[in-house]
Amino acid sequence: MNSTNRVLNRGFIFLVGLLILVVGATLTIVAAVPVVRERWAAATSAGVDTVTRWLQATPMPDFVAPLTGSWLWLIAIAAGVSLIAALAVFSLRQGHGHTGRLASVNGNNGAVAIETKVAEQAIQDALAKRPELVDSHVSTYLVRHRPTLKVAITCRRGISPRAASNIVDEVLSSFDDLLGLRVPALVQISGGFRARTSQGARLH
Amino acid sequence: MSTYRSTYQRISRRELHSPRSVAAITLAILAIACCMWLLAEITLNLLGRPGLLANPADMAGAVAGIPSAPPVLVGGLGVVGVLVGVLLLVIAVTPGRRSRHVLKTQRAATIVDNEVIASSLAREAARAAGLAPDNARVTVSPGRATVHLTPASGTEIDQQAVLAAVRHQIDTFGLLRSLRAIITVAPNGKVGG
Repeated sequence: MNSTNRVLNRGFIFLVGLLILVVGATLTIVAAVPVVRERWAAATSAGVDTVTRWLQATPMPDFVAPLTGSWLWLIAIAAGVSLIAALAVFSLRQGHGHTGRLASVNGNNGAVAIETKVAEQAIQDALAKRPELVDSHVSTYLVRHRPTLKVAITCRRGISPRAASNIVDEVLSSFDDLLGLRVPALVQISGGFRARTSQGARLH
Repeated sequence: MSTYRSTYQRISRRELHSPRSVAAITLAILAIACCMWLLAEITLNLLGRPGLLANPADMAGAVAGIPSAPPVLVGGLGVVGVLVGVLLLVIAVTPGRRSRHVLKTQRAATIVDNEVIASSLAREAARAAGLAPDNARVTVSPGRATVHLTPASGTEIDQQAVLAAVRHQIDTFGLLRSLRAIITVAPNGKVGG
């Protein structure tokens, strides 16, 4: 219902998993195969030498007084900061997609804007009167650039999901008539065992 | 479903599967923590101060010195890495189905928790078997509804009648993916069932 980018989530988990898998496999092979161990020592020492030469060849200019070393480190810091920013944006963008505007109608003499609160309160109010339901909550999300209602209800124990769905459908149809529009909707039925009306009585 | 068919299909599909947000956000926070630590080490090194845990040169030395470390330690770390990596790949690739079902409806896309289906079937099964509601327990999986009945001591349950009642009840739900009903009766009854 929300606008979470699930492909991105899975892609990110996949990439991190692949990275950890490759590092783990490399460590295992280095520990297990003597030939690889020797090669590893040679390759890493050559790599460290090359990087050390690069760092020595790129000294920082004198005017950045307290900082000493190579300016390549500054590039590394910039890359790290951008990665942190990207990951933070990625985390904070999860679960969004609420909207406050249900519909806008443009007429000759102006426009009418209908807030989602109208639908949410009207539908919740109508559902609150039904004894079969313990609780209901209505919210509005943008799905494919179109406002979509999410009606979440909790039923009492043993209520048929079809009966619960019919109750909500009825309320939605009445709301369609009231509004003169058909807003797409999701009905989510939950509840069950814990939602009993009263404790069972036992006769002795 | 007529007007918004593709929207409803999209919503239903998304509601039936996990978004994997928890795993993704956890990994992102861990990655941010690692990045911050590396940045702190680099900055301290540039300022000529000692590092928090290790300065960059020490880190490079540690990587190069892996072969001289005890192979059991390195191999153990490697195996743990492989296992964690495989676990993450599995999380990324598997569908992550939630325990829910889609109901066929006209006006809206309707999603039902398995719990609700189970509770409704349990009530119907208890009624058909003549038992107290607490003596019928139902578990619902993507393709099956299993009814566990505990009879009252010394009485017999008409399993065919219960099966027929449960099947009829499932039919009235109009699930997009219908359930196969299975009845199991506990070998030992309960007094006062």
